[in-house]
Amino acid sequence: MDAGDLAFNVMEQPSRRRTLVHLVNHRYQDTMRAQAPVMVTLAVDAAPASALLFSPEVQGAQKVPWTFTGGRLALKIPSLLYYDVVALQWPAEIPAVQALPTPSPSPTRTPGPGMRRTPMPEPTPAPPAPPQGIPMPSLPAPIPTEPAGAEAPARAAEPSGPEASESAQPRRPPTGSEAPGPVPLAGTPPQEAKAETEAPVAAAATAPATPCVSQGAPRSRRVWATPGPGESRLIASKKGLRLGGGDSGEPEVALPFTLTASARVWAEADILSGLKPEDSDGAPEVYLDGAYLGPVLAEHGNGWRAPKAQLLEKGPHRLLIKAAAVEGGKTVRLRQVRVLSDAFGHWRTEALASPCSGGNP
Amino acid sequence: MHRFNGNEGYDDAFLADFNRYLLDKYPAYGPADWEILFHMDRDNTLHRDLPVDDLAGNFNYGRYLQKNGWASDPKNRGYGGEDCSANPLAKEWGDLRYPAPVRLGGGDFINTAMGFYWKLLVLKIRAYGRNVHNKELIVAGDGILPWTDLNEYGLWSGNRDDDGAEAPWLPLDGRRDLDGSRSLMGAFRSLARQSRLFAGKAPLVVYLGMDPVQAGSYNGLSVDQKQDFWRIYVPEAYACGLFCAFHLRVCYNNQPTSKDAGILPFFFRTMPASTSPTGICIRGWKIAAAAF
Repeated sequence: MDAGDLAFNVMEQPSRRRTLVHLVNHRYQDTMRAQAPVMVTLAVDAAPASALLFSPEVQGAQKVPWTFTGGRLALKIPSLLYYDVVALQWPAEIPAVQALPTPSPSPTRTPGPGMRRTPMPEPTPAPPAPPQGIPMPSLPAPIPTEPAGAEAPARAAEPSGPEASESAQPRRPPTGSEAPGPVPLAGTPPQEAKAETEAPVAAAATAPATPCVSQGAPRSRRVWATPGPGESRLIASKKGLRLGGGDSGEPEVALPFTLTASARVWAEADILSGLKPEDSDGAPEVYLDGAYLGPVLAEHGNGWRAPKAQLLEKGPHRLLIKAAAVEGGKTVRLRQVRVLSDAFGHWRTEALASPCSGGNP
Repeated sequence: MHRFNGNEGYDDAFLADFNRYLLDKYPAYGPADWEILFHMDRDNTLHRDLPVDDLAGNFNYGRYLQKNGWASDPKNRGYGGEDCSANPLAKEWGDLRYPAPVRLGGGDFINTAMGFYWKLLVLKIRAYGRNVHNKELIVAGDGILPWTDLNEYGLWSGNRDDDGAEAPWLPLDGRRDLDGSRSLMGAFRSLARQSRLFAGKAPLVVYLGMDPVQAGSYNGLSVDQKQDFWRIYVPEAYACGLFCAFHLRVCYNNQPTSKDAGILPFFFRTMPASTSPTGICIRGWKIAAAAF
């Protein structure tokens, strides 16, 4: 199945504790051709309370069968003609989506109206794609929890919520011939997967670690660990800022800093008082070496993050926070302003592979 | 009659601001530097010891353009004037792109100035509504503009909307039929990112620009293909956090209205109450609706 005939995006609505998965069909040859069913898997930390499908072709909301196991949420969309939206309702705070479906173009999470910002100012590198874009097979059979012989994952959770009954088929480990449609996990040969009629939206899964006991003295080596997406490095910070509002606040505050190497740099601030999200006129404005980073507006809680990082060269630089030029404006108090950059890598000690590290059967 | 062509804005206030911009940008430059780098004459050059708005004693960019024959093409666009590509200050003055975000603190004068004045304009409009009429005015921008309550953005041909590359907002195949197999989500994401960067939470409503190229292509589609276009790409925009306005009519070029084209019933038919139209709520007012 060519994943290119389906476009998708994932959005979060923190205020509603909801994640929306938008699916747009592009199987188009002179006319639109429906895809049915469509399998969607997401790597998330928790199971949703419910999964509802909305579509222009469907009256009202429709429950979506789902299973959650091993940190992977699998959704079975009955059909996709033009456009489907799956609304995942979470019982608590929205869990982080660890890996997204991977058809081209490469996925990014896009904040929408009322949406939460992405964790990084720039789209973070996509997680490594599973080999060959592992297809999802038909799901008349249950989604197996693990390959045979593997230990149960620590985070495996039972389906819960109203959909539990729909997806609570008996779980059996696939044994090749017994399971007609095993979901291929990492390490599963791709040819075992069947994908004749499915629209794969991918799976980014990893097999659980298997214990291995080696003999003799432990061996190790030092390796350079590249930073993961979202890891950052604090370059400079300043606490207790008071901006604007006449004599009580400063007209501007500067944060000089020096880079020892070129880096992607952005700014963050914690708003203490004097500024509501809708009060855009009175928001202080932030400049990085003369480049405008935007107004300090709380988008999620009291935190603000520059929407875009700047690539700065080695040398001295300056972050400047200016009070808004508004007559009669209030003093805005910021608890802290920070300058951050992408994290550098670091050395770490890694155990060398032992003779039995090739994987248990 | 003057027709707007982007060469406006050379009034005394802007010329004074341009002087301030150049002096601030090049703090170490002296008369020799101005002459060598920008071809300023001795009798029309920048002086740090004179007020920037003293356009008789200090530099007067309008006079500079006239003397060099660049007044009809001050931005080096390649039409009119003599040796129109030679104005060394054209890059410093800069240009505005339409539709475009106002690049606050941008690398040229006009974008920096427009960013500054745009904010003042918005603030004064709001203050006028509150103080004089006790009403809250909703400010909408044509483009991706900061400080607004709402922005609209045309999806035109010849754009640079896809991270600097042209987005084919009306994708066609070799037969000039709709190519619904192509996704525009990458370009919509790019617009959404720019909107977040420049306009914060202000909703962005996109619409299909009916320039001659796209209007010809769109009007050449069958009714079914027109319907498919809206059924595919309105959801794509919405999936990326944008709102999309349906094309009803334009007031020029004698183009057919949606009613003439037979597409209007589809717009009504595809917006039943059961699909819960997505409205835009600003300052307590639901001011627009765009839905599949």
